[in-house]
Order: sequence, then structure tokens, then C-alpha cells
Amino acid sequence: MVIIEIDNIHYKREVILDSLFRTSRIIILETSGDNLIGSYDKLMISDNIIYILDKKVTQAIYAFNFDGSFRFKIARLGEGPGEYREIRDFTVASGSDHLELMDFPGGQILKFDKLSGELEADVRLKKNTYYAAFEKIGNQYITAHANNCGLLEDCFNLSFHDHDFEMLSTHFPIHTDLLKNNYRGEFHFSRNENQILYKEVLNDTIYKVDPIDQQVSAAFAIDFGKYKIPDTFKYSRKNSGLESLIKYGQLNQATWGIHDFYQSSNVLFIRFPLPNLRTLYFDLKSAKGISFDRYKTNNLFYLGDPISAHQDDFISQIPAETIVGILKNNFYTKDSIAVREYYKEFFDKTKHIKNDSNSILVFYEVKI
Amino acid sequence: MKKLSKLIYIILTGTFLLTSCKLEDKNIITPYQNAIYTWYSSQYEQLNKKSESLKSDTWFLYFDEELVCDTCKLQILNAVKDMDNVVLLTHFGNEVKVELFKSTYKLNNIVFDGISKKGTSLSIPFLFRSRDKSMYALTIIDEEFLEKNSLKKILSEKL
Repeated sequence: MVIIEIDNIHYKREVILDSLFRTSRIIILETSGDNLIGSYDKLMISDNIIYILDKKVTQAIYAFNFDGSFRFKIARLGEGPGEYREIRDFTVASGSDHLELMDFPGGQILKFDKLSGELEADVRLKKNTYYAAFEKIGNQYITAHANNCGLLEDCFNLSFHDHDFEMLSTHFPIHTDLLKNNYRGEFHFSRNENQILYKEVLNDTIYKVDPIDQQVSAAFAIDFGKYKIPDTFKYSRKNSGLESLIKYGQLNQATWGIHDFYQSSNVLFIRFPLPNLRTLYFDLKSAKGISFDRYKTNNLFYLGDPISAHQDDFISQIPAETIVGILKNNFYTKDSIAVREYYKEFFDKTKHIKNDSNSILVFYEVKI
Repeated sequence: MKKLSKLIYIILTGTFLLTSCKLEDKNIITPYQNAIYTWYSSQYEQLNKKSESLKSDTWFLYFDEELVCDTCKLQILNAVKDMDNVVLLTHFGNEVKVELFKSTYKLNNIVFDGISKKGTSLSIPFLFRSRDKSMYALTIIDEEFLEKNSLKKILSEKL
């Protein structure tokens, strides 16, 4: 287990990203017909296909090739057969032919051909707890539970299930003081190929999940030191939900914990609120890290936020409206000829992007 | 070039999703209602201005698309999608996303996007009517409400 002590991590209020990042790949996601993505809520890659979940706007999953060309979308919102009432989460198990989608209110997992998006089968869900997210390796499902499970039976944070979704084992009973409140903003799983990392509600430890042996082991313990909200507040009746934690954090310059996290082959990325999000990159080989609140860059492809990790890279997304704003304010002014020349690659790749285009994905390595 | 360097100066910020469909007990309703009234008192002018051309029997559905529990979305939006007297208040801040949202849920309603949230996290949707400075007929659409009532039926009767 790696212990990361925030108090001992080199902190700079503002960093220049250009010395930390190295671009590996830029993908302009094709926009055609009705494949416009409203929000990028989860991205995963399997066999060189990029799958993107839009939970907030279109309730659909979009698939693209690595060159950015569009393959298909899964958009079956509805209450009829083969339709879903909500996409709670989706995953593609390694070695599997299926993309699987969890529809919690519909009580089902729908299985699609991962290459074509055709519906092939469904698995019924036993709704004896609230599932927040799921992953799958081989034939085994791993689920993270929402903590406001009330009177439901299986109030655990994590469980393993067989291919029919029969529960095999459970881990981490949900703390009684956290049962009543919903922390749905919590980020549970982060996956890079076959490595699955997991974090339970309000816990500062990131676990590695081994689905074959149904084992969960601590991989990273984040010691927030002077920024930590004490457990005597977090696990008590004084904590009346995320709002009370945010308020405590604002008053005491403290954090309620990890906001999101991804791991590339050699680097861990986490963000935590103070109350604005502070970013941390930690090199696992050198055990060196850097944290910062703001950044500057001369590489306009570094303007996105990380939304996934794939092999050695992190993947960030730059929304079309951000690109259009940059182009409008900088590339079509009286200085534009010089600017276009200086940022030639950016201009060449983005000049056709409009407000109703899909985002750009940027793959980058981090060197600390 | 210096101008550009300044323009690409970005501050990292984040939003935290406080989300719930469920009011735990009756005592919690009052603070939530108070939060709604506080929001309304700061926004009614903007709302009235936007709704000048609408009929007086218009209902407003406050719907924070980021915070509404996913389980409730389809049920609520299916109930109101063909009712042209129900105006949706959303917070996309982006016309393209509003159109995508309307087309996903097949909404025939007018959508007022961008009525400010001003730091409030009103995760549970609510229906209300507005006249001058007054909000009335407030209905909070929590899980219990959805379990016990048919929103479509209630709206049909009220409309």
C-alpha cells in the first residue's frame, strides 16, 4: 500500500502544465447525424473502441473508433421491452463480447454486442440494495452500493456477484451514521484495462479489487493531514449529508475527501475539494508528487479535465464550446495570423469545430 | 501573444452533487421549502419577465438535471412532456444541451434554461405557480410523492 501524505506533497498554487504533460494522442470525435454527446460521464476503452456514457443529457452510450470515427450509439430510453429507464452505469468486461448496461429502476442489466451495439440479452437485478456503479471482469460483477439503503437488506459498500447477478460476497458494511444520507456524487470505480480501483463512501483509502479471488486490498491511503475533516465529525450525527461536510470544509479549510481518481501505469491522479478542487499527480516509481489549484499552459490541448486513464495515459476532454470560445477570442482577431501560426496544430485540428460538435479527447502522459 | 497566454489561465473549480429524491421525514420538508422560497424570492423578477407571454395557468417545474435522482427523471418527465402548460426550469446554460435534453425525453414543453441557482442545491424537483411576487400551489416531487400519486393525473386535474 502506498501512503500519500498531502502535507508532504510539493504544493504550488499554480503550475505550468507544459513541463509535466506529454501528449500521446489527440482524437477529434466525429459529429454526425444524431450522435451529439451532452455530457461525458464515463469513458472506457476496450479493444480499441472508445465508449462514452452520457448520463445527464441524453441517457445514451456512444462508441467511437480510435481515429474518432463514430461506430454506434445505444439510446433506448423508455419503459418497454429492451428499453431502459436509466443508465446507472455501464462496463465492458475484458475478453467479453458484450457491453453491459445497468438499469437500476428497470431492475435489469442489458447486454449489447460491443462491436455493433445490438441488444442481445438481459439479466434481472435483485433490488435489495441501491447499486451506484458496477464493473465486470471475466464472469464476475463487482458493484458499489449507494449508502442511503435505509431498510433494505444489503447495506454494504461493495459486493461480488456471479454471472446471474447472484451475490457471492460483500465487503465494508455501510457505517450506521452514513445510512440516511445520499452521497451520490461519490466516485466509486476507476478502471484502466483490467485494473479496478475502488473507493467507498467518504473513505480516504483507494482499494484494488481482485474479482477472481473476491479480494479487496488497500492500494493508496491518502492522509489529508491538516486538511482532514475529523472522523468525529464525519462519522457522527453532526454530519447530516454532503452539504454539512462542504460547510465544515469551507469553515475550516478542510476536505471531505477524494473527489475523483484515475491511475495510469505509473501515475495516480486525484482531486479533492478545498472547497475548489485541488489536483494531485503522484508518480508511483519515484514516490514524488505535485499538487496545485490552478494551471497555465501554452498547449491548448491541455485545457481539459481528466475523465479516464488508459495504459500509460490520462484522457482529458475539451468541450466544443471551450474550443469555439478560444477560436473566437484568439484566432479570429487582428493578431490571428500570428496566433494561428504559433498554435498551428491546434488551429488545424479544431477550426471546423462548432458549438454543436463533439469534444476533443487528449491522451497524455504525466512526468513528475 | 501575451494576450493569449492570459486568456488560457484557468482556475480549477468543481461542483459537488448533493442529490436525493427522498425526504427522510416530515420535519425536513420545512427547510427544503424554505430553500425553495429563498430561491424564488431572488428569482421571481427574472421568472416573471420571461413568462410575460405565457398564460396565467402556467405551471413551472424546477428541474435541476444534474441533481435530480436518476431513478425519478423519466417518470417525472414522461408525466409532463405533453403538457404545454408546464414550463421546465433547467440549468444547462447551453442551448445545444437543452435541445438534446428535449429530444431525448421527447419534451414538448417550453424550457427556460439558466434561471440562476445561486448556490442553492435544490435536488428534489418541484412544481409551482407564480403570480407577481408570489409562489403558490407548491408541490415537492419526492420519492414518496411519486410512489403515492400520479403526477400526470394530478397535473391533468389541476390544469
